[in-house]
Amino acid sequence: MTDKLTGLLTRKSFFEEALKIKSDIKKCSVVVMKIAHFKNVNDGLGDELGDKVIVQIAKRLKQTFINVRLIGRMSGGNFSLLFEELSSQELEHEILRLRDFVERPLLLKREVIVLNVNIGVVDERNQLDNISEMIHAAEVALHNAMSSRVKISYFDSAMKLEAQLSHQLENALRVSLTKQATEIHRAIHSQEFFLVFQPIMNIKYGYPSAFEALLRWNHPEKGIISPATFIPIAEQIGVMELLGRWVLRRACKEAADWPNNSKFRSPKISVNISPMQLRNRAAIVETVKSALEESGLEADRLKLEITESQEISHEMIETVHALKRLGCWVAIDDFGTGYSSLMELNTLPVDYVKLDRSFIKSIGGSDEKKERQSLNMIRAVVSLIDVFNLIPIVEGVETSYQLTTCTDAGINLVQGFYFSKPLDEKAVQKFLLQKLEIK
Amino acid sequence: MELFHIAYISKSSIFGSVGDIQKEVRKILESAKKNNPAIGVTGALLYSGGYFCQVIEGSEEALEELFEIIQLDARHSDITVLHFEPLIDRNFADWSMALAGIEDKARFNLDGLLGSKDEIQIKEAGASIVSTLDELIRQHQDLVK
Repeated sequence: MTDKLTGLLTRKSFFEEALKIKSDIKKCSVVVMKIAHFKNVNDGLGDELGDKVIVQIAKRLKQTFINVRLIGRMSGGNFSLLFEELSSQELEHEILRLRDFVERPLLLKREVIVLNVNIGVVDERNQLDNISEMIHAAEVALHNAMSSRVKISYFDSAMKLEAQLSHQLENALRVSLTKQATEIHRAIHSQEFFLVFQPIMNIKYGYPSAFEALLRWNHPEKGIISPATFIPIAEQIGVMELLGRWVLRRACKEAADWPNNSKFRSPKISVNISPMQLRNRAAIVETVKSALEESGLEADRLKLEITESQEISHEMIETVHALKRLGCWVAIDDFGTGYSSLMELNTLPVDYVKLDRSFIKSIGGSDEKKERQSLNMIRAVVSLIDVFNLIPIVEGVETSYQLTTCTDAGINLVQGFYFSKPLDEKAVQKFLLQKLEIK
Repeated sequence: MELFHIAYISKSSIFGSVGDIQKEVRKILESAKKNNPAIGVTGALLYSGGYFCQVIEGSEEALEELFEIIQLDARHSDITVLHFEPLIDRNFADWSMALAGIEDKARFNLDGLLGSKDEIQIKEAGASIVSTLDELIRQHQDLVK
């Protein structure tokens, strides 16, 4: 199957065609290339011109690399090339040509466009077991190039474990999810996926204001796998929406059963929404709506956490408005790590701002200068948050010294191991009943 | 028809003796002379100390198409566009592709310009290169026609 826009192989067919290669894979090299900040190119020039850029680049690849075995468009601005029988010098030459030809200026609709690329390479020296592992390895090298801010990165043995893990996990996750996609409940009953809940304490009252729902995957063979590992894969293979829907429904259902008394209302449930889920407005609004209806949870007990690691677009603002109209709360997660300034943040109708854990980490550490800087940062950010009528939350609080720092800075809501690690469903009930008895 | 012109500089990938370079540059000109009249493109080319400077003039569509062909040419690399602008009158109306010269020593400080992000510097260089090419062609008119 070919990509409609460019006529190149799609990601799926690139894998399929690569698997058909009969010759010795030790003579194959895979090169993956990503147009840097392609989303910005698209946003700046419009989708139509963005598409023309992709078409032109695909043409350049086809015309420039006559001896390549396979060329695929893996997604948006990502392309893959598979070469056979090249010596190291020949491969290096081809990679430099790739960079050179793609970065040459484009003249389209009166615009001169100059692209930048990052490239990941895996060659025959890496001795990987199969071709699809090689493609993943090249993608790992590409991520390495991007995170180390270099143009070209060659896969090496240090990255090998990561690549194998990513490959195995993708397969395992794909199997788990495709087998059970139609009845995702089975996955839940077999408890492969489960939620844990970490309290967000209101230190003024000594009672949890909310619990954050955190997804875990208990793989039958590999044990507990961190969401940082499997969520990117779930997004890549297109099952994040399914998984996200399950998390929301499960979290709301659980929170609906939490105890309360005349003095304290049951805590809110805080659920993370991935940038990908947020992109499909109709789907996320429907998911939240039905999770609330099914569970009977009052809308104002649901808080949605969205990350700050994406640029705030008009679409995003509209989506957040639509979610707020359902009656739930919205928090910005990991604030201080992403793109947005507080001024920009003010364009989003959010209620809470969760400071990234890096803010609190150096409080009480050995580096006094860093501690002073962090403290000033916390105070400055909290006073600005206050100007915008937002509520700050600090996560990652582990010591009483850090807690005092928060109290002194006027922060009431804190989360971290100092109060509790993430708890399973039963432990949450116990935790709440204990707090209610004491109060 | 609305006219535009584009000026760029690039690093030559032609290696060998002066004779080899002359031969290859002649080939470029021959192909331009053959193809450009049909698409209404005019322009000028200078080879200067390992660099190419080229100006091409024509309609938006013709320039878009020709510029892409030029991009795919392996005889040069490190291409930096100096300007792409509307044009009232052609500077090189009489030439499908005039040769402004083949010079051993670089006429401009082109190394500093390649990949430069300084827009003013690039625009000024673009204007100066167009006028230099124009001047060179006038000087050598008998030789290059």
